Amino acid sequence: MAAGERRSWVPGSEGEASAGLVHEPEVAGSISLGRLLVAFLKIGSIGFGGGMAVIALMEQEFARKRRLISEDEFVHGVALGQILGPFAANAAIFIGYRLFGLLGGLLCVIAFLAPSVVLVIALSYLYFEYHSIPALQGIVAGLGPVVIALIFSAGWSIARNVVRTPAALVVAAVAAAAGIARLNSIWVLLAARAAGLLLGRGDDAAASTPVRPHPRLSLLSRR
Amino acid sequence: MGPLFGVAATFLKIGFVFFGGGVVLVPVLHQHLVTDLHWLTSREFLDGVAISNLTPGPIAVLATFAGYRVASVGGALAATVALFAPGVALMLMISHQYARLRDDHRAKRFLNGINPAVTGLIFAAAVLLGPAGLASWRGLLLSGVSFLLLTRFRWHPAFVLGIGAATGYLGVCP
Repeated sequence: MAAGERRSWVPGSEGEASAGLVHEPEVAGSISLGRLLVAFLKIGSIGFGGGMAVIALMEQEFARKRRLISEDEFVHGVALGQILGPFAANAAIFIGYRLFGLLGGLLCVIAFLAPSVVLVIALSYLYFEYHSIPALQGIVAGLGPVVIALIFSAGWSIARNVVRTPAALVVAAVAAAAGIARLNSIWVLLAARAAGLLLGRGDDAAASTPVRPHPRLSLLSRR
Repeated sequence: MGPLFGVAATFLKIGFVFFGGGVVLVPVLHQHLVTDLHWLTSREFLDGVAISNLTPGPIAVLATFAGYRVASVGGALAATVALFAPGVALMLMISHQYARLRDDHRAKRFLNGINPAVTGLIFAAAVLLGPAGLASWRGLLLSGVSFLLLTRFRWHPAFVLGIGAATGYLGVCP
């Protein structure tokens, strides 16, 4: 794969038209594999808080800022990743694969994990040598409130694109309550799908069909 | 080569069963590393969990810590690669299937149907972090200001995280 090659995820470029759905051209950016890996190295270095904090960073970097992947697809990646556990690493694989195939997926997850692995090796050395964990803990405590804000802002941005009907809003609220009750996320996702089928006569009451944003949500939409 | 092979084989086995998976990994690793293999003491294991939690990576980087204990840097790398390999392979396969199936109406419906639920789970993650991060009014203030900087002023998250790190380091917050 040529180093300078640029990829973007343009709807219609892979026979999307045959699906009979017309998407808004919400994906416009392109990126080289090298820059994509640098972006993942960066996220892997600053994504303290793990899990959803990292998802929030990826959403902001790849969906909102660079527009390499649509919000819908990004959320698909998060959902598929959740089935397997460490969903932040899985989202990195998903994005890498979508843009650059097998090699992209593999290199992106390595780039994402590398800073953490290096940090753990350094901290392990300090720990087994001096039997103390450095003052990093104070820093991490200060990051807590920012991480919460970061996740909220990502949730907000994704919701504006994905939660487009009142029924979807109900599903999102119930899922949030279930998540707060610490129910297993796989069951939450499957139950949401079942509820969507029941409420929507087999069609998608809860789905984010490619239509205009819900008016109330679009009031809050980006300027 | 001896210890490296043992480390890689052990973590590959765990990786195959748990696909690198989340917090469930902690009791499993405890069983293997502390109870069965005596690679770590209970105390070291707990400190390893704390260290793993300090990083942006998943809790599975606990394998890096344990691998380091057994066979230094080589062990750390072998343990990490072995633990993640099966899950990464599986996720690559799922991504490939996604590329194949995304034009399929039923697959698309299924995924679109769960999108709002995923959104809910994202908010849930923020709420669950609340008690730890927002324990004081300073934490609450920092969180509110961060939200405004991120959404309204569109600051890059790295800068906002930098502010949080600075306040934490200086002991101002939380």
